[in-house]
Amino acid sequence: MKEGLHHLLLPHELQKLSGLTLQSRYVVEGSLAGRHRSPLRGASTEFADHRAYFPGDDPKRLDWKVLGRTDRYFVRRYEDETNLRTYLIVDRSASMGYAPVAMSKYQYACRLAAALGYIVIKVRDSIGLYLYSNQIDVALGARNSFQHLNTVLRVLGQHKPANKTNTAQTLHQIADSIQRRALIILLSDLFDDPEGILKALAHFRKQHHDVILFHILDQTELDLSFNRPAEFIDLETDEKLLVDPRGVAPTYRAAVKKFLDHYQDSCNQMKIDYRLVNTKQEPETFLKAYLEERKRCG
Amino acid sequence: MWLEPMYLWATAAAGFPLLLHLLSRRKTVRIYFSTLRFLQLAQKQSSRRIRLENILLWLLRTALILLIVCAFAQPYVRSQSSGNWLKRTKRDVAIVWDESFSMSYESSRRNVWEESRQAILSILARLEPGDRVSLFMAGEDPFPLIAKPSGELEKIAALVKNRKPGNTSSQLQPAILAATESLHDSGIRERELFIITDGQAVPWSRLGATASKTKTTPPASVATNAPPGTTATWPPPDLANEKYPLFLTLVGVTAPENATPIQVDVYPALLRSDIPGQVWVRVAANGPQRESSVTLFVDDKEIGHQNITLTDGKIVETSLALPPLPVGTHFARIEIPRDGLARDDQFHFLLHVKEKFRVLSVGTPQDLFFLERALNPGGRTASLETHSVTTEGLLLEKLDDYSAIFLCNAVPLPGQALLTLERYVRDGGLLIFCPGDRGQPADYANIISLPAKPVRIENLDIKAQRKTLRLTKPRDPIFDSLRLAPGAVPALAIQRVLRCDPVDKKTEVLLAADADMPFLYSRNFGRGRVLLLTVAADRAWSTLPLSPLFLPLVHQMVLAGAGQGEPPLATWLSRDIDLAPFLNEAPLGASLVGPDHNTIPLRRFINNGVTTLHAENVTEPGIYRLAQSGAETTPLLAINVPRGESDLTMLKPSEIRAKLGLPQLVIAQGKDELARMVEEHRVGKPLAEQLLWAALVVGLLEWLVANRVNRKTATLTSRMLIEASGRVHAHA
Repeated sequence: MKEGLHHLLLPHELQKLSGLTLQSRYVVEGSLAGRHRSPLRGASTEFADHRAYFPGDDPKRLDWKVLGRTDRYFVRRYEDETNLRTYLIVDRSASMGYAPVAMSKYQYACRLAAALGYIVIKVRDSIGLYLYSNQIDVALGARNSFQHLNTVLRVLGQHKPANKTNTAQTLHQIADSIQRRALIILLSDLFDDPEGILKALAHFRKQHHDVILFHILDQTELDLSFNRPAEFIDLETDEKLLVDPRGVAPTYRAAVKKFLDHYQDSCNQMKIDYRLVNTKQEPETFLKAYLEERKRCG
Repeated sequence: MWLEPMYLWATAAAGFPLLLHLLSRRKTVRIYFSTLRFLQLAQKQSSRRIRLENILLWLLRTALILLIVCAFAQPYVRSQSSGNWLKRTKRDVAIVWDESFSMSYESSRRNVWEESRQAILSILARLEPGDRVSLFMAGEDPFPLIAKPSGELEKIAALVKNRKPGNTSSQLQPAILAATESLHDSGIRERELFIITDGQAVPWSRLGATASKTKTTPPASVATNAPPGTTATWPPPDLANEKYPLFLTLVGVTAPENATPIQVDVYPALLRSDIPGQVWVRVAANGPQRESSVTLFVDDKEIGHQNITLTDGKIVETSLALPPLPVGTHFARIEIPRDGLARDDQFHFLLHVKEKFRVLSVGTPQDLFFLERALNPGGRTASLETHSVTTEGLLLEKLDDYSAIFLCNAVPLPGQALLTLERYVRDGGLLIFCPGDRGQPADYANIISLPAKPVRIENLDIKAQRKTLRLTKPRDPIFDSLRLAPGAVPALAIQRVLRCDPVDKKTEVLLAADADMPFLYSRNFGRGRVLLLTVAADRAWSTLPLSPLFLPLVHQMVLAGAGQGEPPLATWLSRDIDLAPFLNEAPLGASLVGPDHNTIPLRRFINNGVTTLHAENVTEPGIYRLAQSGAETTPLLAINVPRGESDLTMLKPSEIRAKLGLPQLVIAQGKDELARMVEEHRVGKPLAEQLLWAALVVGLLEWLVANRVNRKTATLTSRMLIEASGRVHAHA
């Protein structure tokens, strides 16, 4: 795989992404001043509340009008605005290597990550990366430079889908490692124990992270749209199964739908932004639609 | 058994579906898939159904190929088990051909006789050399054209081609029995019995009675109890034991139209040259209601015409006026417009016209005083010529010259006179007894023709003497034109009466005095009639001779009663016609000349010393004349085809089946169906068509099952509403 932003996204695709922003729905804790709400009080223009004046406070923060009315000293406090730290958690288990056509789910995830990184870095927010399979393969801290973005994308390009997945345990480890509130974007097919994954996602939410879940699936995984009996081989376990897809398709679709519904319902309950991403759709198109909707709905 | 067994090699193609299935398994595509968890789950839930569907598909496809191959190989099922291994068996065939004249029915499109002929020729054409045929014509009596099974098929075919329908009715049962008998000695040959008829109900009428009767007894008992060859029971033992099939071919029209004059009556029965008469005609019809007409011809001249409306199953009665005719015998006919059955459209009859009726009165002048005055009220009348003799003079008279004989106080009679009178009555004479004081009740004992047996002579009390006469049989011909003077009350004073007991059920009381006293007895005897008055023709017994009733009563007795003994107007066509009613004796060499001028000799039969004349093989309807050497021919007989056969009410096949009660009966409608059924019986029932139908059904089933297996169920992406932004509408 070619490496770097410009290898993953063509100029016209970058053009399409320009003007898009990724806002966190919740307060985040950044290290730099930025355009995102912070749990801290700071120097923004957004009034937060009053606090009694203590010696040492900057006298210019005194609220003279309150002093005039009450003869008591209060200082004005303002919302702090910080930058957004976004962590991309990308699944690189063997199942993500499923590629019925030219592009595998992993490649799709990489392109999606590139687009997200471009959007994030463009507004001076930070981007970090966790790449995992059955363990955390790569962990890159959040930084706000295109150089770092290229590093992230290079790392993604250097790794191939392999190994069994162990999403739940890995996510727990990642959650433990991200101390400050951030935006977590998980790109995975979630072919693991759903209950474990959902618990791990709950772990993120418990730490007040804003979580976006991009559930990346191929069209054939959703519909099982094969016409001939075939021997199916599991990419992760190498198990084999002779199946006539036309016969089992209805039952298969019912099972997949139940699987998807379960994730969607659980994510809704946990206020996780769950999105089903069909690899048939161009990443930029999907992302543009998604971000516009996110911006519109707040 | 297969007609084209070489196609059976193609049954190997039945392995193709299995082969294709196995080949497709070997060429299984490998697909690397992200996870098998859902496939394993679906496979677990669907594998049993999929396996069943696959097996079903395989079975259906194999069955489809087998059915098509089998259809091409043309299998057939033998209905005769013996023929399976004998391959080819010689057979004896008996054919019963209904030759009643209803078989000559023709419509614009169909000719029943020709169709029946073609059916028989078709049967003959399907026989092989060595097969034998017997042929029986079912007419009035069964007539064997070929009595014993014969192998000369061409000769039989020639006979069939030249045969014409008969003029008589038919009964099929005797012919079937005869045909069955002809097959009795066929040994190991296969036997088949064919009946060719038009489905008319009449020929089966007697069979129904016997068949239903035998239903109560098992056929086996009939077979064991009935001596071979003499049984008239139904069904015949061979048929009852289902030894061979019976093919019944119905060639008739299902809704025929026919009308026929079934009866003609002339009034008065004995016509006189000076008075007009009346002809009553009864016409029966089959078919829808329609307008028709009857026309009367006398001596080939049209005399009258009457329009009538015919209704199915109803008898229409109408009358035509008959003008006075010259003395002699006239041939006449009633004619209706030609219809499908032309042979019964005419009714031939003879009219005998006399100038005068001769009446003989036997008794003393005193006893005959009032009677002679009544018979000749104004001296000699134009219609009656009377002659009187005493009892002793009776033997000298030739009685056949008289239309009526009055016996007034003439009993007791000598034995010779009694015999002469008895013969006179048997031959159609009218005898009228008037009692008197001369004879006692015992003297009547030897007169066997009397309608009532005199018991006693009773003198009535003066209070009981007044009696009023009452007509107990007002429709008797004697009273048909009896007219009393206005105001005349038929009341009498009866002083003495002859009390009698009726002889038998034939005795009728035509007149009664009050309610309790029979006054005039009547009884038919032989072809004649005997009347017995219970009072004398003398005023010593009653006031009858003085009453205004006496004269018309005496005249009516002569005019109406005398014609009764005349020969019948017509008779029915038969193989053997008894001429006794028409001709008592004929000179040697006399013969009948038929309507087609063929001569029929007269046969004499002597039975118990009585000679009777018969005409045999009379086959054509029409007027038959008596030809004597040196004498002019005179019309003697008017012969018509039997009208029972004119009733074209058809039986349904189910009704015939019920009447015959034979399980092996095969009923075919027409020769084509017969040919097919015979073919099915001999060769077997071809199953190719059924197999092709079955293949079509199996093909449809395969298509349905295959479509079910390959059906396009809605995909998940089409069922779930996934927006471009990845938002899934929950539980879509």
